[in-house]
Amino acid sequence: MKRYLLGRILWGLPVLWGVLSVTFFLLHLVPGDPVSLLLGEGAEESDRLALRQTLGLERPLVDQYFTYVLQLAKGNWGESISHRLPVLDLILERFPSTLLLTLTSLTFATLVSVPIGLGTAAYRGRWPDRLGMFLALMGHSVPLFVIAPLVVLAFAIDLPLLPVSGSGTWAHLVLPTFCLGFGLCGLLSRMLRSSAVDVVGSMHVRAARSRGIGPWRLYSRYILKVSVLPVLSVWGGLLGGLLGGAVVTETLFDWPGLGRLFYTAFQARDYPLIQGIVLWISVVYVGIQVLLDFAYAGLDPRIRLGAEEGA
Amino acid sequence: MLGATKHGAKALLRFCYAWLGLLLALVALVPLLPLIDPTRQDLGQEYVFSAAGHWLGTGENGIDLASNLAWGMRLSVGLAFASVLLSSLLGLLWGGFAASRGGLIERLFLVVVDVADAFPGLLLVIALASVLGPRPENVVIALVMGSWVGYARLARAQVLSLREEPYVEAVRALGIPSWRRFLRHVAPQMLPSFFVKMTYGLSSAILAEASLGFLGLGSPPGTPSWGQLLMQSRDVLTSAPHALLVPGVSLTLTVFAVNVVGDDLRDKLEGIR
Repeated sequence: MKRYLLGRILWGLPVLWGVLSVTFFLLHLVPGDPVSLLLGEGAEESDRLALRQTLGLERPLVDQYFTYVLQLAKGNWGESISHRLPVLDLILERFPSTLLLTLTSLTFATLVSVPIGLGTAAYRGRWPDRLGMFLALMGHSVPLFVIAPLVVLAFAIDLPLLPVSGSGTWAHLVLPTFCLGFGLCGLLSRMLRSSAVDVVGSMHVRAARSRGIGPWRLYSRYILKVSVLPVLSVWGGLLGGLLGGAVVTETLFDWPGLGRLFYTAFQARDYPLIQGIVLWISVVYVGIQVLLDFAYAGLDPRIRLGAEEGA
Repeated sequence: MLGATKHGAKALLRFCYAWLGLLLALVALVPLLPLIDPTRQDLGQEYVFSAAGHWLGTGENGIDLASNLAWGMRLSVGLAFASVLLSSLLGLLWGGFAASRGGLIERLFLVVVDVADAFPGLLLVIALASVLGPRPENVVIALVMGSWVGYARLARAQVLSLREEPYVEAVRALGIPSWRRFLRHVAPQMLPSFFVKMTYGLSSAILAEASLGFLGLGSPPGTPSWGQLLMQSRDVLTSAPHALLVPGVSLTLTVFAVNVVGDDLRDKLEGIR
């Protein structure tokens, strides 16, 4: 068991190193020059040269790469070119906003999709099932940038209940949460239904039913617990993706998260900052994959026992 | 499986197939249709819904929405299609090769897949598109880079399970070389599930392409595109909601129809098995 999880943690290291290297070389090989963007097109050649030297861009690429990796190993993520601030500080400043939005929208999506997923599975083939799945597919298909202006129009302009965009109060969180969570509801409830449909017909559920266990207990203890397992990896993938920042949502609602930071970093060709954000997101992603493995081992005794037999 | 009644579900399914058929026909026919030039500006009639001669109204600078919608659809669906074809082909070859070789090569190939997976999906697409610049072929490159991994994983899983099949064993016993075994005997068996995944891939590619257009990273400014129409509509939300609704409803319907067709294909595939 320990060996299995240790192996999973060690798996993350080469992946992170790969992401780091690919990003580094990709960024430096593509066209687009941060120096021109910082100084403007008409800058003096001597100024350009001076800035290139301060940024270390004139050295051979491999040299720059090893310097970067070495600094990183010491915990130095570099300094943003456009903000003139340490990259890690910038990321840590924005991350709480992204984390907050991720948690609220994923919670919202989960709270909506568990009843829809289980309900449609329970009424499989009958009208609640058809209706629920129709709505779920609809939710899955409406693009974020179509639903977002509509809800803004309805709840912030026509009925001025909530702020149009920005951050700071709980009210600012409502619309972005709804929009981001809306699309996830569709996906999660569809996944949960298809998983629950299999479980509802399984032997242990039939056995539980024949022992006279009531529907409430049956669905919450016997069906939900088992049908959640396959959905968990999708859920974790969503969590990992969302923690990287939701570019469109954050842009639409002026939400000061990682997604917007990433977007502006790209527009400024801010290499160290882009590099830092990509690395951060991958660390989070890999971390969540490893945590998911722990969660699976915790939830599904078969994995635990199988790993012990194998070890 | 959809719609409140069985009858409704059938009608809905037919509608979705018809909508997709119409779109595909339009991709070929748009240049032949008597549409107003999508870039022609009519500054006196900016954002008017019931403008004479414009049956879906006008957008920014008085451009004709109907013709922009048609040309934009042609580009969006075309690019999405191209990216799905390319990424599934790349995934098929990558995953199929990895699984049929096994050993160290498979491990190395899988590390690449893991690394590509650790890149955040839409962020990667946005990053690539913004680095490469707003050109249609760059959109395709970005979309392929963001989606081939899923096909590679599917291909590998399928090859691993198919090669245990007795008929593949028989083909091997006949001494047929491995590349031929893969192309003639294994790959065709993988097509149905690939086809289902490609359908879902198409709907996400259409969405991603529109997101790029919306962020100003898709096609160059001035090219008709659904994403750009939607972006422009943000500024006139209250005064001209049709500028949002016309492209928004079209986009939603298209993605919805592709997903319904994907579900239908999946159900049919499960019926075969």
